[in-house]
Amino acid sequence: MNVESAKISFLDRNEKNNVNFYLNNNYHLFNSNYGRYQFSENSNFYNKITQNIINILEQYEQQIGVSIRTVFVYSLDRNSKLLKINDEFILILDLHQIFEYVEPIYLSQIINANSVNNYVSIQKKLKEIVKNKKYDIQEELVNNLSFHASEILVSPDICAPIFLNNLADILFNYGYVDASIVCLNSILNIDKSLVYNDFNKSLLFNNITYKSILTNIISAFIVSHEINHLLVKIDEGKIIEERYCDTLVTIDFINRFDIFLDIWRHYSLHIKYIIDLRQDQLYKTIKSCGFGSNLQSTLERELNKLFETWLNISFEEYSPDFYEELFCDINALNMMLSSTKDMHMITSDISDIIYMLMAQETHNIQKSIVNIILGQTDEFSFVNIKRIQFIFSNLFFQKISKHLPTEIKSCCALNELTLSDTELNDMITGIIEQLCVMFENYYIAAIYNSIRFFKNDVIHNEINAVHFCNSNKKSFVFTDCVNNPSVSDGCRISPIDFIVMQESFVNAYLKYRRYVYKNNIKQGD
Amino acid sequence: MKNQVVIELSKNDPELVHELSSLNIPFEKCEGKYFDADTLIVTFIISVLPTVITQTTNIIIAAIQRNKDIKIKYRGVEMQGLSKEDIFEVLERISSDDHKE
Repeated sequence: MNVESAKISFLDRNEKNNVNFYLNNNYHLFNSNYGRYQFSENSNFYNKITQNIINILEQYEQQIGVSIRTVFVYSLDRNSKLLKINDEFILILDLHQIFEYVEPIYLSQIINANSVNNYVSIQKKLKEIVKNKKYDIQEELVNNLSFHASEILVSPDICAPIFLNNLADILFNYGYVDASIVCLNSILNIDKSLVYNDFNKSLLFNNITYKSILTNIISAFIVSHEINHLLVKIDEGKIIEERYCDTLVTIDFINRFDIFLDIWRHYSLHIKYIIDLRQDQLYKTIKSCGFGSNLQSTLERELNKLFETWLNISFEEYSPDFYEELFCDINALNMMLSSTKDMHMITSDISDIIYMLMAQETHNIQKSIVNIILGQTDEFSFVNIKRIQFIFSNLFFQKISKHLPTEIKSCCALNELTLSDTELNDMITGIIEQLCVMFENYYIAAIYNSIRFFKNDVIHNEINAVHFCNSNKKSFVFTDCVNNPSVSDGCRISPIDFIVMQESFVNAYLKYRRYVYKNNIKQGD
Repeated sequence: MKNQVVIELSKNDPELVHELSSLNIPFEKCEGKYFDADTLIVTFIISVLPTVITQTTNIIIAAIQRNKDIKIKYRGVEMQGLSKEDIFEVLERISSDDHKE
């Protein structure tokens, strides 16, 4: 099955007028050959991932006895969702979201693996996965991965292309094309010689094996999560009522007892250290950006609240929707864990899902920063931080459960997890270690750079047309000569023109995004 | 259909539904649970017809004024920071054929 036929069959599977109308207005069903993954060259990889998602869906359909219409899309919004249209549920799976979240997880693995032991542990983990035969991975591919500590060179800028891509997508989605192109161009300006040597360049960009495993885990989790939303809606609590109650009991238990906060503070000491270290730098950056006093104090206040949220575990005063979100996460994990009893697989699944939520939180916080600066909102959302903390809380629940009465012990929401004390401790320590790497190099760096980006006057109400060629034919090509004075007299396009000509801009933007990605690798030579 | 705009809301807005119904223009309503825990949960898809552009503009402006958590999108792009006149012009262009390629 080639890429085109795969795409068409997905659309056929879901063909219905109202859905197509909705998609036309909210999503762009992009060509399959774009972005970080060149599907035309790696069509097997693309097909395997999407086929895997379809297999997962079919399993769930059999389990719950409901047929789920699913639409695969690529959207710059990066938002998978469950929609109810005319009493029918439709699952919208955003492949862009799934693929983009793989990158920061993978990069943080590379940064974290700064010793031979850690590299060996990645290789060991991959071998376990092959042995487990959960995924269709060839053994020789894993054996060919050899790691040598002496060849590793990692720069703090290594995650920059990922969060700058995030920011560019957000800005483009809001219609600020000039700013999004400036943002993409800043990726070209990163000194790649510090970031990539031959070894980690090949490791970063060519390790399809590991990325496909991550992609499978992420997509399985997103599908399971949305299926649980569906169950909550259609089942009216009949099948999953007990599990929903378990989640509420667990939340109540965590809110009541300080021991969860104590354990969290014990494990998250390094997060506190990073916050203490970076907080002042962030506030200085906000001051130096020249925002008005209102905006400056809003950003400072929200960042304070953000750091407070990271350092405290509490699930009080939230809406029923929020509790449903936590339930869907934890039951999705239960559904995934029920299929394996292998310790390595369990650790791998839970850790990768936490990192994926961290990648999502990073994207959301960047979006919130942009929204605050543009005056669209005046507060951050902390839901995704709470989602990460709730998974940890359930691990802590397991850890202390031997001291609890049986009736409370049996209420733990993550009821598919049965590990010994040592295994649990190793798992939590390992997850926190890499989470801190992501927190420092990806999350905080993304916040810092997103704020700093607005230091220059990058937001315009008009689009500088020098970025495009062939404007007479309404076919646009972004060039990399934004700062070239020789083309500074170009015409300008109004926001109204931009809105109605959106489709052409999106295609040109995606082409330019791919150009930046390719150039990003080349300059590392 | 190219002449459709999307209004996304953080919660149901009976006033908006009532106003849209009174215009007698086709619209659809979707409810959604977003994976990234976004609070936007209700989506209206409106077909912009040339005969009701003024009223549609008024409804959109009123909806924006009373609700901060609202997004107006055309083909996936949010219309941000536009004046009433700008929105009128955008809707006019969307409803006509001149922007079609």
